Amino acid sequence: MNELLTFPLSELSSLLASKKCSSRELTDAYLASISAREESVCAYITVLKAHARKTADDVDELRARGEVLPPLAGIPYAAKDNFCTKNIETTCASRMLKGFLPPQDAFAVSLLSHSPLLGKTNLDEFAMGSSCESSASKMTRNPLDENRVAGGSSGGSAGAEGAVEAPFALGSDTGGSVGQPAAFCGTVGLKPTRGSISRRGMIAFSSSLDTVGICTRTVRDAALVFDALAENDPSDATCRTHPEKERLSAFGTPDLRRLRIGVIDFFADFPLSGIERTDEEAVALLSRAGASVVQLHVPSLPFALPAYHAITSTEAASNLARYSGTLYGHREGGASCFSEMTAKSRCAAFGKEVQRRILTGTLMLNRNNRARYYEKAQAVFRDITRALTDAFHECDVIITPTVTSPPYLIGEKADDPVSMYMSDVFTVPASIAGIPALSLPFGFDARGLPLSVQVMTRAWDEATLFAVSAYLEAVKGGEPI
Amino acid sequence: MLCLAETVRPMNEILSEALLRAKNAEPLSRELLLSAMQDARLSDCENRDALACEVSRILAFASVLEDYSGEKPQDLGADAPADQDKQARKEVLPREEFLARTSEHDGSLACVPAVLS
Repeated sequence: MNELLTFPLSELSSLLASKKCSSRELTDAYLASISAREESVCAYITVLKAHARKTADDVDELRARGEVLPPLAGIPYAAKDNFCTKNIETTCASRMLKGFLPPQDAFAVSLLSHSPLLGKTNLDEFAMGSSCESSASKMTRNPLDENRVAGGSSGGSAGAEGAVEAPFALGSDTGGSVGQPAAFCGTVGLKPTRGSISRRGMIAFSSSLDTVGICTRTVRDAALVFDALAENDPSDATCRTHPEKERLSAFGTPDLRRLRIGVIDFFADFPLSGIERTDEEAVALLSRAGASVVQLHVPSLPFALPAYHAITSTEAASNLARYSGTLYGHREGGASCFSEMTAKSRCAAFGKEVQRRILTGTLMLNRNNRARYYEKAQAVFRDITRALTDAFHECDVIITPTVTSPPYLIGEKADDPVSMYMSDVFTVPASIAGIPALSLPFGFDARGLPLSVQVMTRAWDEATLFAVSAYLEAVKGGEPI
Repeated sequence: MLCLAETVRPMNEILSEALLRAKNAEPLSRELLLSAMQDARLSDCENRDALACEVSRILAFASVLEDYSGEKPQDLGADAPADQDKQARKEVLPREEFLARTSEHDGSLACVPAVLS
């Protein structure tokens, strides 16, 4: 393997700044890695060789002229294919958006204008799914075991990280769409505080939950990328300036003697399937270093998953109503009137999972069902948000497993959507509450499949999130349990 | 030593109930399915039998929300009641009663009508 592929972002940044390597060399190394692995992993929908090389050459020229550049300048990356990229096809892994060329970049992409974009990564269609099997483009395979799923919906981004096809990748999270695939692919997945990174230009699935996510190979890399993206965007009303901006990636060793770990009984008691209780191991490691443990009970948590599916289905039904074949989306021919044209277009271009969710949302919003599903789900959301906010008066971090099982075999859950939904049980609560959560690798099981653990903190406390996660990463060191 | 937890820990009873309801769900009636397909502008979809089964399972899974009775702030903590039934059910005041109570107030709830509207 080319040595450049092994360096973390901070080291790559230093190498580029000191001109010991060029952005072009680094970009070519990653493009070669993509060529070598992509046929089997299928992490990318579009690989942008010429585009990436041009950006790399431009950045090298700016550096040669002595321009002051941001820390990630010259370091290539991948973006999930639900981020708009100016004049570069953005499909959301759907036939509906095939050929769509956005007129502008997503805000997060525009902040990385000095980083060569290697390509657009695969996802479950419109980010609805947990395995990357529902992409209309292709199915991403787990880079650690190609018979297994990469997870989803950011399976392409996590797969690209796991296969060393990108130094970092942008993903998106609605209910665990970064943490779960990161756990399956043995990488770090960060879902930051809702509102810390602008969502402008990220194609909507469920507007009250969608958050930009980050996939990297180390915790410090995730912090570096977060620093680059946590910029206030006046055009996104849900975005605000992070109170600790500029120093998040400079975190040190946490004072573990003052750290209070929250263990919530619902998470601690939840049965796992064929996977070790990494949360217990992580809590034990932190306790041995001096942290105290607080037991907590949140009665509303068992309702999180049903409420999540009620809210996301209804919001998806609303958000995806715009794809009618008129202003947006695929238009099917052979219709005799407008309503027939929209129905034909939507049925031809939306995949099975998207149709399922739109129909579910439509039914939940009808007059007879609204109070039964949508309003109850809103009450659950409010209570979980308040309870988790209160929980952080008692503790500083909450530790849970990230996933309920190791990456499952391709096709194993494809016809059982409810069973697949259960895999998000640990990640959905942080999305509902808008608090930050980070999934980090935590060794491997006897079969060589990756293990992971999830750390959550109070909103806007990414500093503690990174410090505690980096401690666990350093202590665990990727050793098998 | 870590253990495989599924052998010793039962599934949370609310989620067990949700999964059971999903498993036993009857497919949506043809009338309801066609009406929803019309509303969602998906009336041209052909896989209707599969959709009727799958959507009904998701609806059944989410139907446990009917049992949700609200959570009080003081429920958090190790001593909080684990049983949902033991919790006081949050009552929603009828609009007339709510307005009657606010009219007795000293005026600091002047914003209430705006909120209600």
